[in-house]
Amino acid sequence: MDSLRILFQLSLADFRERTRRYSFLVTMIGVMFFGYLVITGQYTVKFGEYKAIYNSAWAGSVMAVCSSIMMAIAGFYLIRGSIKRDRLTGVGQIIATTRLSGRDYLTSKLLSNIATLWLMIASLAVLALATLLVKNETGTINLWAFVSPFLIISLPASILVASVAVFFDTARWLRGSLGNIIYLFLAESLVVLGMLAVPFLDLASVAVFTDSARAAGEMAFPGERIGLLMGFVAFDPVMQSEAFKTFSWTGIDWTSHMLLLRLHWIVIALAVTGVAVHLFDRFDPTKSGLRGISRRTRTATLAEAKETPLAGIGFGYDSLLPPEPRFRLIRMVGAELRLALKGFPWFWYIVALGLVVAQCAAPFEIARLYLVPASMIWPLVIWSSAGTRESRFGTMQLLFSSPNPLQRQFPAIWLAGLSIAMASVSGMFLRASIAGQWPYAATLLVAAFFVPAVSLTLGTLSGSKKLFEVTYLMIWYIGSIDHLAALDLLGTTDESVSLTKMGLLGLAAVGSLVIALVARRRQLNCA
Amino acid sequence: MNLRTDQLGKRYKGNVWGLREFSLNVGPGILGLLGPNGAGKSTLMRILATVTKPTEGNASWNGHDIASSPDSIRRILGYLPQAFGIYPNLNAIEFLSYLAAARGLSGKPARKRISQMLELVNLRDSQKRRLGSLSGGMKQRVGIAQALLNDPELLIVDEPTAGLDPEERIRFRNLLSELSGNRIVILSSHIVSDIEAVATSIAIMNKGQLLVHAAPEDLLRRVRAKVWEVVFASSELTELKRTHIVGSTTRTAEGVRARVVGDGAPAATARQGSPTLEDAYLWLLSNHQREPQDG
Repeated sequence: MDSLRILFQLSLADFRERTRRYSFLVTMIGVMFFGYLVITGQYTVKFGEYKAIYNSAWAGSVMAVCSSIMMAIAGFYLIRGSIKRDRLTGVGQIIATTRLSGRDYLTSKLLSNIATLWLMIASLAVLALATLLVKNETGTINLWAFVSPFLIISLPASILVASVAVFFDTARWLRGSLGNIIYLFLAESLVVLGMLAVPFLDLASVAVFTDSARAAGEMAFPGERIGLLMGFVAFDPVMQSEAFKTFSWTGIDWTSHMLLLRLHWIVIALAVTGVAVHLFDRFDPTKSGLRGISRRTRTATLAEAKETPLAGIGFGYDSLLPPEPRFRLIRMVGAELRLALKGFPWFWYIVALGLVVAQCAAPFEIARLYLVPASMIWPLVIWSSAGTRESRFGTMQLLFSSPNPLQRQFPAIWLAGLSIAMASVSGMFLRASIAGQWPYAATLLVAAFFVPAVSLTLGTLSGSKKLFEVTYLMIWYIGSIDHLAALDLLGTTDESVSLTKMGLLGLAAVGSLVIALVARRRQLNCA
Repeated sequence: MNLRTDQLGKRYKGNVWGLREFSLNVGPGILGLLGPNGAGKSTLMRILATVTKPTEGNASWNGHDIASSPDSIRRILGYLPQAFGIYPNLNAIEFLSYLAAARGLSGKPARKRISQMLELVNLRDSQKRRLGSLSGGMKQRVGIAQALLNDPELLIVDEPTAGLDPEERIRFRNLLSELSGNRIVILSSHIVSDIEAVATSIAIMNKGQLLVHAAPEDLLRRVRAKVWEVVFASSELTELKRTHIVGSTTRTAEGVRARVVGDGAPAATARQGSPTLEDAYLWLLSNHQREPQDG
């Protein structure tokens, strides 16, 4: 009983800590905006020229399925980081000295993650219910038909996402930006496999839901084939039609087999948490790994960490010649570049260089489709650090008391990011220029301007790497991997290369830099 | 060379004043800031270091207002904050090069200066070790080195001896003494002995206000004939502390020997002692804390 009470208190404290943050308010606004897209039919499930009657089952199921997809992809990023925060703030070291077991600690984090996701789901459910009250086409409300999809679909999905977040925060290799990238691929794959009707991988019950609704439609219109479209459907021409054929659908007829397939996500979640407990280092800094140095060096540095005495201090300061300051932007950019590029394992640089070389050597289309996107995701952690290092490492006071911090250091951060972006796409930029493919070359140039500008802005505004990493990862994946032309910054297909888009991105980059500058000025005034 | 504050004030959220009506005029030498935690020392230093803007009043360097033209002071400023961060993946040379670039120092002159500063704080042997692997005291020395990079005319050091062992504290104080000739050094600490050893003038603060700004000798004069040494039984110490201002205490075979600051002798057996800065500090602080009740 005591341990349950302790778990509850720990989870509650963690839940309070994250929900009282300003960033949580921003998150909830984002979640409600997503809900708005669903209730207005911009992100939803459509059946071509057929349409299910807007009733309790439909309203609940659409929101439950769509919110489960959203949680599976974006929810992870919204809840992860709680263990990392304990590590960074030193709270973890205090926890490590208590009798609290690693299992209980991680369970409390799991519960807190679940509670946070459930709060989001509950908000979306309330939004869906309010919409149902307005748009209901049957005149009656069936509460179970509305609520059951949230309970059966969203809750197990959220428990899995919560446990994976705990796992990624615990496993050493997955704690940072690499974990963010790997998760995106995992989550996208899971959602796609679910849509392809692989039942035991259907986390959001997409196939179960659409199969059930389409069966009802095909029963209402025998012999007719009902199409399916899911996702951002606002621009689909068929959707603009008013002449829908409507059919009635009363909800998924859950069989015991289907329910078992939902329960198995909870079992997997518990297993994932169990692995996390096994990997948990209990905030032991000797197990955390010192980034960027070999084991031999690490042993040596820890052994040598004994003090060398301050013997020389205080001798002959006045005999030293005073320096003559003369600021050069190029030197500051160089210093920012060194800072940005420092601390990666050796293979990081090899891969970065290899990608640029491969851009020159590989067939043009292969380089365009795969190598350029890979090159523009590899330095993610460098860009995401822009504008955040000062607050993350506590060097704000040192830099803000230096001369002209706005005019000197701040532009240098962006220029360093730009240099890295330009270097990342340099192989393809040269090839496109030589081949006379100016629009594509210009697209790469604009992307190289845009990405570090946005990273600097989001980093300065949020003080955290996460906002840019999540935003950029989503845009990069949907645009350059899934080839949605509107979001494809890198021009992986001819359709995504457009002068208008380049102009807009250029303007957005400039606007973004202005916002960043204003935000940094505000930091200077409010420090 | 003159640093002046006039009715300086800083209000935080919730109408809490970190600093209020703070007026001071300082010339070359070491100004020691003394005060308990929360006295406003760090707030004052952050304002003078242009990191924080005052809510009211003004601070000026050689007649230039610091808040409206912060770069006039940043060029000649060296600042060691109470809690400062480092980039753990850089070594000392790289970290100092980075901050040197931000201060307009680069190329060969910067390399030379960094080398000199590392020599000065005796970090040459560890200059290529990741900062993340250095001890707290060594990181503090990196902080000292960065504060001196531009040979500052105004050096502000906030609790600089935190994390240093006793020997290092003494050596750091020696360095400050050496630096004080033709520049203004502002040193804050709640360790009275650190201030006592080097300060040419002392400002005692409490609850965001300046209690007194005077030379150490003047402060000592204020408690002349007010310091008593008395031996009490251990059981009577609590009562003594309740009724008197008690400074340091030491155990002896006869009981507890206590230094008491007050107008009258705490006991018939009390003997007058020679005043120290700590006595003066306790006396002024205690009087200020009593003021609201008295007034």
